[in-house]
Amino acid sequence: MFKKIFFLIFTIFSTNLLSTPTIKNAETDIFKKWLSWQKIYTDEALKNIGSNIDDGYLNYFKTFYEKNLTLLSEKTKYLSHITHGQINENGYQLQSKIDENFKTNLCKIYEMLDENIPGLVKHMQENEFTDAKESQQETLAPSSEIIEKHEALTSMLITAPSDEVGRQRKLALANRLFEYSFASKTFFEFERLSMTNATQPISRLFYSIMWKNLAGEGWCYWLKENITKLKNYSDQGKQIVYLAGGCDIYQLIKNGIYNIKNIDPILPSQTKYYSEGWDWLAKSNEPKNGIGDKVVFDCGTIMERVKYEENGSFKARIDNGKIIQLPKATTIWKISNAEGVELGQYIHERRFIEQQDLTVSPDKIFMMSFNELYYLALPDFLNGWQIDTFKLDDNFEIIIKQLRRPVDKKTMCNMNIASIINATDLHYLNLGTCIN
Amino acid sequence: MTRLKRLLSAAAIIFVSIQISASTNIRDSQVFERWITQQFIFEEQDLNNFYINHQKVFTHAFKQTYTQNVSQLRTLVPFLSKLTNNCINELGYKLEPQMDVQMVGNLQTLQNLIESNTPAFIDWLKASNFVDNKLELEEVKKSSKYVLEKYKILSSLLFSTQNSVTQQETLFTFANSLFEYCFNDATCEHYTELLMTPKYHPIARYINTTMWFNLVGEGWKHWHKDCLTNLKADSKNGKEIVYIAGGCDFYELLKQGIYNIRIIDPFIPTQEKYFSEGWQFLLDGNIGDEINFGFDAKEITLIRNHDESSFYISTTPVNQTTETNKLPQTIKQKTITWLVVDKFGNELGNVIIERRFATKKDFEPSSTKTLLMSYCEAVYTSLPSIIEGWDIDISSFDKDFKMYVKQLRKPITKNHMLNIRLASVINLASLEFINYGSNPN
Repeated sequence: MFKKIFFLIFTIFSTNLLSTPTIKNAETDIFKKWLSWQKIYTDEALKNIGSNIDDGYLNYFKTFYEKNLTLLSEKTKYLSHITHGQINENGYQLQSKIDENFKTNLCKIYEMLDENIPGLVKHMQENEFTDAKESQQETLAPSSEIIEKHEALTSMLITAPSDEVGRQRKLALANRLFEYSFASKTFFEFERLSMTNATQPISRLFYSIMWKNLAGEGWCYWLKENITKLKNYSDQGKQIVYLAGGCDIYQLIKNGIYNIKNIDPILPSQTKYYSEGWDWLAKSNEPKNGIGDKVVFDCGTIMERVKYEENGSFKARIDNGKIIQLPKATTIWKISNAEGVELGQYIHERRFIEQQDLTVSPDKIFMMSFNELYYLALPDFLNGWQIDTFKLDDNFEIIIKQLRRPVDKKTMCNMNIASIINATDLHYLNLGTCIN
Repeated sequence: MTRLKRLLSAAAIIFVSIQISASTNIRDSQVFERWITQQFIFEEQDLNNFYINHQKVFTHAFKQTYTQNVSQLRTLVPFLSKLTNNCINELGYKLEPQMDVQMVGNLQTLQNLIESNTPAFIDWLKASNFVDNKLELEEVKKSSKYVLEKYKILSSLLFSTQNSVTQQETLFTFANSLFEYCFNDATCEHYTELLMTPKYHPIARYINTTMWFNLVGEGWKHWHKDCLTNLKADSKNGKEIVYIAGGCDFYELLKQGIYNIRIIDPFIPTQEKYFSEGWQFLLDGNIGDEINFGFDAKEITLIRNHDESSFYISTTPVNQTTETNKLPQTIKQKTITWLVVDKFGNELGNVIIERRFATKKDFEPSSTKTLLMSYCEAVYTSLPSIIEGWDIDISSFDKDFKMYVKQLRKPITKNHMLNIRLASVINLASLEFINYGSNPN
C-alpha cells in the first residue's frame, strides 16, 4: 500500500517537475534543410533576356547544342528556323559572330515567352516544332526521357549568367505556361493541343517545364513577391492559412508573418519533404506534450508551444499502401520577440483538408505549394483530395508560393478538367508528382 | 469410278438446286416494320414565329400542360413567374384565355433567341430566376429521371401545341439549335461555363435534357429532313453513303432513292431492341433472297447477291470477360451484298453490309464516300473509354472531316467531336448528369 502511494506521488512529482521544456534553435535544429534547400526568386521579365544576346551567348548556345545534339535531333527543323538555317538537316554551322536574323528570332521568342504564349504556340505550329511522328514516339517513350529532351531545349534557349539566374528564369517561364494552360482565357486552346495527336508534343513540353520548375525541383522555391504579399496581408490582420504546408513556415516567420494556420496531416511517409524538426514541431513525446517547448530564431523571434490537444484520430494511406492511424491534434505555438512581446501564433491542425476549410473569409488568406494545389484540384477518381473545386466560393483565391499570380476557382476547375484530359488523351506527367 | 463421279455431280446439282430454291421472297414490312411505323422525318421548324403560327391553340395548350404538371414544375415557379409575368406564381396560377401581353412578349423573345442567338437565350435564363441554389440542391438530390422529366415538360410548355407530332418536330429543331450552341467552336466555351459552374447547373441540365431526349431518348430513330436531302444529293453525285454503326436503319435511305449504301455495324445481338425485326434475315440467308419494297413512287427489290464470312470476333470487351470470367460473346465477321433492282430488273445499286466494328480507317475522307451516323453513336465515337466511348483517335481525323448525323440539320466536323469529348469530360468532373449519348432505356 505504502509502495503504491509512493509511486503515485513520485509519478505526479516527476511529471510536473522533472519534465523540463526543450529549447531548440530554429536554424540549426528545426529548419536547417530549408536554409540549404529553399530558394527565393523573383519573377523576371523574360523579354529582357534578348538584350543580352551577344557572341558570348552564341558560344554558350553552340557548346550546349553540341553536348545535347542527339537529344535535340527531333527539333532540328524548328532550330533551323530559329538559327536562320545555321542548324539544319545536314548538320550545323554556328558562326562565331551572331547572325542578325538569328538574334531577331531569339528576341521574338523571348518576347512571346514573356507576354504571348498563344503567339509562341502559333509560331511553333508554323515552324515545324513537331509532327505526328514525334508525337507517336513520345507516346512510347518514358516520361523521364521526354523531360530530358525538353530540359535540354529550355536550357539552351533560356540562357543565364549563372545556374541561379537560370532557375529563376525557368520559374518565370513555368509561371507563364501555367497561366496559359489553366487560366480561362486560353484553357480551351491548350486543351485542344492536348487532345490533338499532332500538337500533343507542345502540351508535353509545357507540362515538362511546369512540372520541373514548379514541382519536381520547384517544390521548395518561393517567389519573393508572394512573401511580400503575404506579409502585407498579415500586417492587415489576416490569418495566413497554409494548406498542406508541412513544416514550411520558416520563410513566413523570418519575414515577419506571425499569424499562421497550417492544416496538414504530416504523414510520416513524407519526411523527405519536411525539415528535420517536423515531428517534434507536430508532437512532443514529453509527458506534458511539450508545453513550454521553445524554438529560438537567430533574429531573436521565439516560438513557444502553449497548447497541444488531441481530438480523436484519423486514418491515412501512406506511400507503401499501408493504412496508419494518426492523432487528430491541434498544436498552438505562441510567437514573441526577444523582449517577450507576443507577436502572434502558429496553429497547426493535424488532419486532412476538408471542403469547409476553403470557405472564403475576409480574415483569411489561403496559401499552398504547387504540388499540393494539383492534388487539391484533382477529381476523386484520379486520387485527388476529395475537394469539389466546382463548389468552391466563386471568389475563392489562393496564393501559391511558386506562382506570381493567385490561383482562382476557375483555374482550379480547369486544372481538374485538364487532369482528366491528361488521363484520357495526353497520357503524360501528373503535375503534382513528387521527385524521386 | 466414272459412274460414281457422275452420281456425286448429280447429287451436288440437286443440293445446289435445293439451296437455290430455298431462297425467300418477303415484303419490306417483314424486315422494316418498326421503321415504317415509328420513324419520322422531321422538317426544320420556324421557332421565331412559333407563337404566331400556333396562337390559336397556344394558350389552351400552355394551360393544359401546366395544370397537368403543376407538381413536377413546382421548383421552376420562380422562373415561370418571370416568364409569365407573374401569371404563374408561388400562390398558384391565373392563366386567362386572353394571354397576358408581357407573357406573350417574353415567350416570343425566348423562342426568337433560341434560333437567332442561343447564348442570349441562355443569358435570359440566367437573368430569370433559373439560377437558384434551392433548385440546384433539389436537382442534386433527385434522380436524373426526375430531372429529365421536369425539363421535358418545360420544353413542352415553351412550345405548347395540341399536335404532338408538330411539337416533337419543333423540339427536334430546338435540340438542333442547342447542339450547335454547345459544340460549335464559337459558343462552346459559353456552354462549358454552365457545366463548370454549380449555380448554372440547372440550366445545363435543361439543355442536356432537351438535346438528349430529342436526339437520343426519343429521337434516336428519327431523321432530319435536311440530312436526307444532303445525302440524296451526294448519292446522286455518285457517292457511296457509308452508314457507320447504322444497324439496319437504311429503309428511309432506300425510300429517298439512295441506292448506294454501305453499312458497317457489328450487329451485336444484345442491341436487338435498336434493330428492326428482320435484322437477322438481312445478315443470314440464301443467295437470291428478296425483299420487295412498295414505295409510293417506285417499287424496288433487294436481292441477296453475295455473302462472304470470315472469322469470329469477340463482342465482349476484354476487361468484362476477365471480370466475369465468362467466355467472350462472338459473332461471325462477314460481308453481305444486296443488289438493288427496280421492278423491271434494272440494277440501281447495292446495299453492302459489313458486319464488324468500325475502325479509325473508316472515318478517313474520300471523294467517293459520304459518312453518316446516328447521334448516339457519333457521341460514343467522340468519347474516351472511361466515359464508355469507343476510344477512336478523333484528334487525328482529317481537318476537313465531315459527317452527316441523321438527327442533325448540318453535318458535324472534327471540332464538334472534340468539343463533345471535352464537354463530356467536364460533365464527368462537374455536372455529373447523364451522358450525351446515354442509352434511352
